[in-house]
Amino acid sequence: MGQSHPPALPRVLVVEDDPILMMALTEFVENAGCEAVEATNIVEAIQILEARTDIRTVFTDLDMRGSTAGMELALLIRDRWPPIELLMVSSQPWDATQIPSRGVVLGKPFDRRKIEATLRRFAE
Amino acid sequence: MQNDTPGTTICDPDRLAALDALAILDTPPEQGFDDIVRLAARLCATPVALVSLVAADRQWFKARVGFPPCETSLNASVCAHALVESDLLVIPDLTADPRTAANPLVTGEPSIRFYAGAPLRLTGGQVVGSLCVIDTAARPGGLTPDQADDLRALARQVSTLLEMRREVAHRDEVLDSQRAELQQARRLELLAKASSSLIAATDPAAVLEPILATGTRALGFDLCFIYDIDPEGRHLRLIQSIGTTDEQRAALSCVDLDLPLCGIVVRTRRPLVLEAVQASIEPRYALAREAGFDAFAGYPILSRGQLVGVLSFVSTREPAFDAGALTFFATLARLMSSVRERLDVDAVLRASDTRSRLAQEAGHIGTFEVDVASGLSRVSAEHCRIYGVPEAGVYSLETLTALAVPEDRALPSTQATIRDGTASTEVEYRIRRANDGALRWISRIGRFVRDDAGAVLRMVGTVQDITARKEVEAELRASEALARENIQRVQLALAAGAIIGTWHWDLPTDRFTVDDAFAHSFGLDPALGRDGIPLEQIVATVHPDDQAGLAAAINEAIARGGAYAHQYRVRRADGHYYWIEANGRVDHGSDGTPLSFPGVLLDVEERRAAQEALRASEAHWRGLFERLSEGFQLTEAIRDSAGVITDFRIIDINPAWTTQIGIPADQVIGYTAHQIFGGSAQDWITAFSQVVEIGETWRFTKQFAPNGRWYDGNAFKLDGDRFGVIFLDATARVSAESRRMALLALGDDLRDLTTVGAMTQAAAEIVGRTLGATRAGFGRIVGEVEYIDIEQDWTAPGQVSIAGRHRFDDYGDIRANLAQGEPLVIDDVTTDPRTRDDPGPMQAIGIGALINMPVRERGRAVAVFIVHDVRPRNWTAEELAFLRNVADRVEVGVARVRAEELQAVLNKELAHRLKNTLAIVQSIATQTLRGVTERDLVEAFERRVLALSRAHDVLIQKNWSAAKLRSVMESVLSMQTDLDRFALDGPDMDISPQAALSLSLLLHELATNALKYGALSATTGAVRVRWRANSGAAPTLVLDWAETGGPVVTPPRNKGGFGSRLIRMGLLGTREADLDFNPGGLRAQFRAPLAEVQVQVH
Repeated sequence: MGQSHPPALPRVLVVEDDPILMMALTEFVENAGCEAVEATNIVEAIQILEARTDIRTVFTDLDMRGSTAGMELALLIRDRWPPIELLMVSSQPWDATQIPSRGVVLGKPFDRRKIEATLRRFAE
Repeated sequence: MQNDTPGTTICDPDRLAALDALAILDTPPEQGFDDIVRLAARLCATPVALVSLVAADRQWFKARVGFPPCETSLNASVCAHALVESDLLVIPDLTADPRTAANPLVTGEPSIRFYAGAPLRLTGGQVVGSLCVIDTAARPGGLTPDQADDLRALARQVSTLLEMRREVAHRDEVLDSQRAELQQARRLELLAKASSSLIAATDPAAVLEPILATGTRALGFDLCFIYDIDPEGRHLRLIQSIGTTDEQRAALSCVDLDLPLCGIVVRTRRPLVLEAVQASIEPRYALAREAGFDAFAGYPILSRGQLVGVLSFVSTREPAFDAGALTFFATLARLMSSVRERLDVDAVLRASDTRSRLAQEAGHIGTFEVDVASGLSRVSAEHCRIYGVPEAGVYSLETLTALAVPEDRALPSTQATIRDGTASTEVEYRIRRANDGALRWISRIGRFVRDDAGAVLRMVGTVQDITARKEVEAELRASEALARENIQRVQLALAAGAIIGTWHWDLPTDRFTVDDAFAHSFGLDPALGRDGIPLEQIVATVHPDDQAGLAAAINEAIARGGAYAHQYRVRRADGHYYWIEANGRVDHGSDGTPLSFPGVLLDVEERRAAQEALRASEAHWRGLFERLSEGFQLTEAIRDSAGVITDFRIIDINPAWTTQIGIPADQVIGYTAHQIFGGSAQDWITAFSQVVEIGETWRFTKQFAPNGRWYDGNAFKLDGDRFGVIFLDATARVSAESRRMALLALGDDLRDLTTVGAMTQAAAEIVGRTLGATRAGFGRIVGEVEYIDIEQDWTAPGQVSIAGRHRFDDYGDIRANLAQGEPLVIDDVTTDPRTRDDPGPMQAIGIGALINMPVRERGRAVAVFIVHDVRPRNWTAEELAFLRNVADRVEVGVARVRAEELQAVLNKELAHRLKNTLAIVQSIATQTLRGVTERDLVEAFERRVLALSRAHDVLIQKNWSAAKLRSVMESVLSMQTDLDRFALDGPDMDISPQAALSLSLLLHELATNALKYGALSATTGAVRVRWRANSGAAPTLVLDWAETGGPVVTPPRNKGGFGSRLIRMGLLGTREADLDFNPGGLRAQFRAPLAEVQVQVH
């Protein structure tokens, strides 16, 4: 591991409570040329954000247990860590006015092209 | 015992006729007969004697002594047996004789025993009865010979008396009839004299006096009084009298109106005819009795509707006037009335002349000077007084014009009409005088003052109050109308056919000519009638029985000269005989030779028939009019000076009019629509003016603004500017219709609206407007009918909203009905026992009457439909039923919305779960296919799932029942690339869920291919998607996919994968897919049965 030091990949915090979906989400992150940091609930996600400073993007599912958890997290991030980019996926219609600024919401099932394109744009 | 009484004798017609001719039955007792029975009883020494007359059914006693009844039945008659005897009938013991043993007078009271009767034989031989004597003791010896002789003699005497009496009566009759004829002739002569004198008289009473003075005998009066009523209407003044003393005349020269008898005529304005005043005990006649009045006849004298005098006749000698005399008096009173009327109208004319002269002399003329530039009018003091305004000297023209009544406001000139010189120089208009509001007629005369260029600088002129003149003119018009009516009445009588025709007989040449009407009536040649017709030909038409009488009457008239009148029967053109009356006059020359004999023939029968028919038809029409349940009005249009109809006047209405409109006749007849209804009936005036102008009947169903009610009716033109309107209140029907329409509208609203709030608001507005209420709303009941939360309500203009929470108990004791799920209905909050103790809270929010109609959910009242009216009102059963219906519908509508809301929540949740699941499916597939190197196949799968999901997105909007075709297309194509690269062209329609999914997958594959290989792979390429519904026996949806601007197309070499197969399967798996790999771009066409693609929503 230590023989070379390739430039560090942009880190994306993936927040998802469903393990199968977590696999899909981390795959999108990796395909976009980023490194996924996983959190399975918002408390974990906040702890990671408080502990680390290398997270550029948070990629979260809005449909987690406690129906508003995903959106709460997004609003909290925009409040506490304004520079962090936000990508969200949702199975429900969303109210565009409630989306934090610069945040992007995409629907389910997944549109791989749009998700990966957005992640790449955030990573630049 | 009647067995042997020969009934044939009693009933012999000759005998009965002779008895009748005596005319004696049931007459009062007479001295001659009474004397004879007393003598008979004394001579025969019996207690009873009778003059008994035997009629067909009874015996009647002309004279009797000792026997109370004045008649008995025939079975109690012994005299009947005497009829058949040639001499005396003597029965010594009535109990022993078989003819009388059973007679009730013998067997019972007064138990008669002895009878002797002598027959009463007339000169013709008929026996009409007997003179009999009767005793209650049997007399075996009968009468003595002397007594028998006496009885016979007395019976002869009775017979003679009876016949004498008959002769005397006959003589009196002859004398009476001769006297009556004489009297009649005398009366007619008096009437003729009186009428000819009155026609030209200026003092009717004075000319009557000498005529009447000669007629007292003929008319049977000895006193006559002619009174005037003094101008103040407080006294009667005797102006002429007959048979009075100077003293009486002085006493009666000025008496109170309550003068006995004449005073009654004054008060009632009707004739008063009294008989036998002397025998009367009526206190009001006491003075008349003292004055010796016995018969009285008094008549009012009327002029122009006013009582102006009394004409009365009195007899102190006879208890009654005969019918002929009364007719004479009445006719004379009518003549007097018409003469007085003529004189009074003349007097009014003279007075109006005098009045206007006086006005001029007094100089009550105001002056004005209007300055065009400023619009100000300089007015004189008199002008101000005429208008009733303060004497200010200068007024604006508008201020003065504003005093004109609305109908006349256009008449006075304005600044503009003066400036352009179009103002009338002479106008008359009405004003309301400013200080007392009195209606005054103003005459204004003006002239223009112009500058050198001809422009109007000023208008100067005069104003004058001409109200008095207008009043006189109106009075004259009324009199004129009355006169015209009288003329018409006379003409009517003539036209009614009473006059058959006229004749003229020139006596010296014996030339007899008749007019055409006469000739036609008798079937004669009119030409001959004009030239002269032989008298024999005329006489031939007279009934044979009447010819002799006619000839005698004619000869008599010619010899005598003067008036001639004779009634006789003639055969007319139709071959029948009719009674006619010839009226004519024979004129004699100065030497006494008869010259001419002109006259008219009156149809006695037709005159009578025509009068009756006229009366009957008028009564019939009037009756119809009165009984009609429809309102009827006879109306006349009113035009302005330009001839435009601006108003109408009601001339007559029937009782139903008042029932229908609700205004009493005395406030309607003679008034104009503006006066009765103000401006609120303008729409009717406009409509009616069309009827008058165009003449077509107008059938209407129209609301009448003044009372808000609806009427069905017809308006139809009559003669000239008159029209009739007949109508019926249709409010109930129209309300029912409007309620029906409201329910229809409500149905539409409830179906289309998606929220409970929108529904209840829509229902509230419909209810409020339909019922003409002032507020309507919907409120939810909170708790056990404690509070109500009222949603946004509908209110009429000027009413406040009461949306928000209210406590029921704050408004009265009104919870009970609602708690039981029943409607709360209050007609008047001030009288209803539930609210009358304190109606204040209700009234404070504009509630005079209310309905709370419960809306139930699962049998409980959960809400109420509220209707308020600011005024008290009687809610009708129909209105309640309507509201019940509305509440029921709202109930159903609310239930539907609730179900839909629930379903929407479920759908949303379902969609959420479906999408999440599809995401998981994608994830599993991706992870499962991790080792597959052809990553685009994996991605293709992912994208097909995505396309499927998009179709679901569209479907969810319609609860998975249908989707909009265009939405499906846009949703799935936008997933691929910018929508503006697609041209979508075709009719939008609702498609089935299966069609939506199929279309999504099909378009997804086509677009994927286009992006990869086709038109969309080049930046300039585009796709046109067109679709249409082909009609025909099997309607089909045809979808065309056409790519342009892409690279040159080459057909695929192999069969292709899943995507190609999907495309070839086409829409809904019909496999009707035509693919044309045209080098310029792919063209594909897909077909599917329209019935399977399209769904009908609703």
